[in-house]
Amino acid sequence: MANRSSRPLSRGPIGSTLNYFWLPVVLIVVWWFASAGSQSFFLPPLSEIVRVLWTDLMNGKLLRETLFSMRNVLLGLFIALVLGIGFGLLIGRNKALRVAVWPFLAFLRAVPGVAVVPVVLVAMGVGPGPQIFIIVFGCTFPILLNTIDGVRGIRESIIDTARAYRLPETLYVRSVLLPAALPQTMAGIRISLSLSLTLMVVAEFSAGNAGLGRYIMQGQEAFRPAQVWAGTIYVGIVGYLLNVIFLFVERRLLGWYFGIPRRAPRYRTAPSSAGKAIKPEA
Amino acid sequence: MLKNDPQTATPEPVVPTVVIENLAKSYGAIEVLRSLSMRVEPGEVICIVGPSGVGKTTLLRCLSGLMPPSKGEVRVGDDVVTAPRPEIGIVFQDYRGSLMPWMSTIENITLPLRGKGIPKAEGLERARRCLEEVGLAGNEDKYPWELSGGMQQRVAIARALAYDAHILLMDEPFGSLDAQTRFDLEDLVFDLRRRLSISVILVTHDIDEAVYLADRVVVLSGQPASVIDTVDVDFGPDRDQVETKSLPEFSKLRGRILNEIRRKT
Repeated sequence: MANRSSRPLSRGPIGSTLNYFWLPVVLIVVWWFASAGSQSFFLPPLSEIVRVLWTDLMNGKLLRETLFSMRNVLLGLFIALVLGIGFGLLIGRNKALRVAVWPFLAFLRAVPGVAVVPVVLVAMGVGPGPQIFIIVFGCTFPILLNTIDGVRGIRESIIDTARAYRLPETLYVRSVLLPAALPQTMAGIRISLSLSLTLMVVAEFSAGNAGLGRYIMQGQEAFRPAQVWAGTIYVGIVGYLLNVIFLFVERRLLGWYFGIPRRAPRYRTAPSSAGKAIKPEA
Repeated sequence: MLKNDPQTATPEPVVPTVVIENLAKSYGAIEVLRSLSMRVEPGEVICIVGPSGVGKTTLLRCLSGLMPPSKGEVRVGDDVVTAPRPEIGIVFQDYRGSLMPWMSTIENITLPLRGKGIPKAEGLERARRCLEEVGLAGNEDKYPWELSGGMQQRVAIARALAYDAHILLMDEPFGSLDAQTRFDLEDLVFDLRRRLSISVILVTHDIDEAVYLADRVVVLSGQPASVIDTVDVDFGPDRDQVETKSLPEFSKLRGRILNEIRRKT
C-alpha cells in the first residue's frame, strides 16, 4: 500500500550488493590501516581486536555468553510481546479503561528501562530471572503503547463493516483488530528489539556472571581493551542480524501494508475458471 | 444461482418485507429525520434520493441496525431491528474502508461466513461462486488495493451475496466511481436482483441512477428530512442505460424529482 523505498543507485545483483556494502567496507578498511601499529592503550589495532574475537569465537567462550544473553533477550521480548499486544488490544478498545490507566502508562513510559536495573538486581539478585525481568519491563511499553494507538486508529468503516456482518468477538479481535493494529505494533516491536539489547548489556554490566555484557566488562576489568572492543563489535553484529530477521518477518506479515502482492496463489481455482475471468474495468 | 445452492437449500428465498414506521432520528438537539414511513416489498428495488447531507446515510444506518432510531421502528419480517441482522447485507460508500486491506478478495468474502460458523470448504466454495457472479472470477488472491474502485465495490457486493443477504442495503455505493463503471455496476445490481429476487434499498443523490434502477423512488428532503414524494417507476425488468434513459417517461420522472428537491431546499 505504501511502498516508498527509494531507488537504488544502480541495478542488478552486483549493483545492489555494491550499494549496500561499499560504505561499511571502506570504513573497515580505513580503520584497519589507520589503527595498524597503534600504541594507544584504548585503541588497539583492529587486527588485534579481530584476533581476540576470532579466538573467543573458536574456543566457545563467546558462544556460551551468546546463548545466555540471547535466551534472556528472546524470552524477555516474547513476554513483552504477549503483554504488550494483549493489554494493548484490551486498553485500545476500552475507553474507560484507557482513561483510567493512561496517567499510569504515561509515567511508566517516562521511566527509562535502565533506571530500574539497580533496584531489580538488589531485589532479585543474580541470574537470568532479573535479566529477563528488566528486558520485559523496558520492552513492553513501546509495544503496548503502539498497539493502543493502532487500535484507536482503526477506521470507522472497518468497525461498521465488522458490526454489520455480525463478526463474533474472537474473530473480530483476531482477524480485524489485530491485523489493523499490526503496522503500529510492528513499529513498537522494532523499538523494543534494539531496546532489549541495550537493557541486556546494561543489566549484565551491573550484575551477573554470564552474558555478552559480562564479556565486555571482563575485558575492562582485566585491562584488555581488545576484548572490550571485540565484545562491542560482536553485540553490534548480533543486533544487526536480529534486525535483519525482524525485517524479514515484518515483510511477510505486513506485505499488504507495504504493497507487496501475494506471489503464490492460495485460493485461486483451476485455470479453466481463471481463463473465463472477466475484467469489467481497466 | 444462490437459489440452487444445495447447502443453503431453500427453493425460493424467503425475502422478508421491510417496514419503516414513524422513524425519527436526532443527534442531541439536531433533528435529522422526522416521521419517516415506508414499506419495501420482497424483491423490490427502492431508491432513496435526496440532496447531500439530508440524512440518507443516517436513515440507512437505522435500517441496518447499526444505529438505533430516536423514535419509531424498523421491522424486518416480524422482528423489530435492534442490531445488525443476518438477512441484511450492506455495501458501503467507502469501499476502500470497508474491505480489509490485509485480506485477499476471497478472504474478505469468507470472513463473515467464518463468523456464521460455515465450514471452511463450503465458505470458500460459496465465496468463489459469488465472486464469479459479480464478474471477478480469477481474482481470489488479489488484495483489494490491487483492484480498481469498481472491482472493489463488486467484491463488497459479492460479500453481501455470499452472506446470503436477502436485503441489500447500499449507501451511495457508486458515488465515487467514474460514469462508465457506475453504469456497469448499476446493471450488475439490477441483474442480480432479477436473478436472485432479493430486495435492494439503495441510497443515492444521483436522480438518474435512482430512476434507472428503482421500482419506487422515495424522495427525501427538508430539515429535518421527511418523505416528500414516492414515485413509482414502471420500466419493467429489462432496462438499458441508453434506451431507458432516453424514454420521455424517464425525463418526466427525472424532472419531477429534481423539481421537488429544488423546491424544498
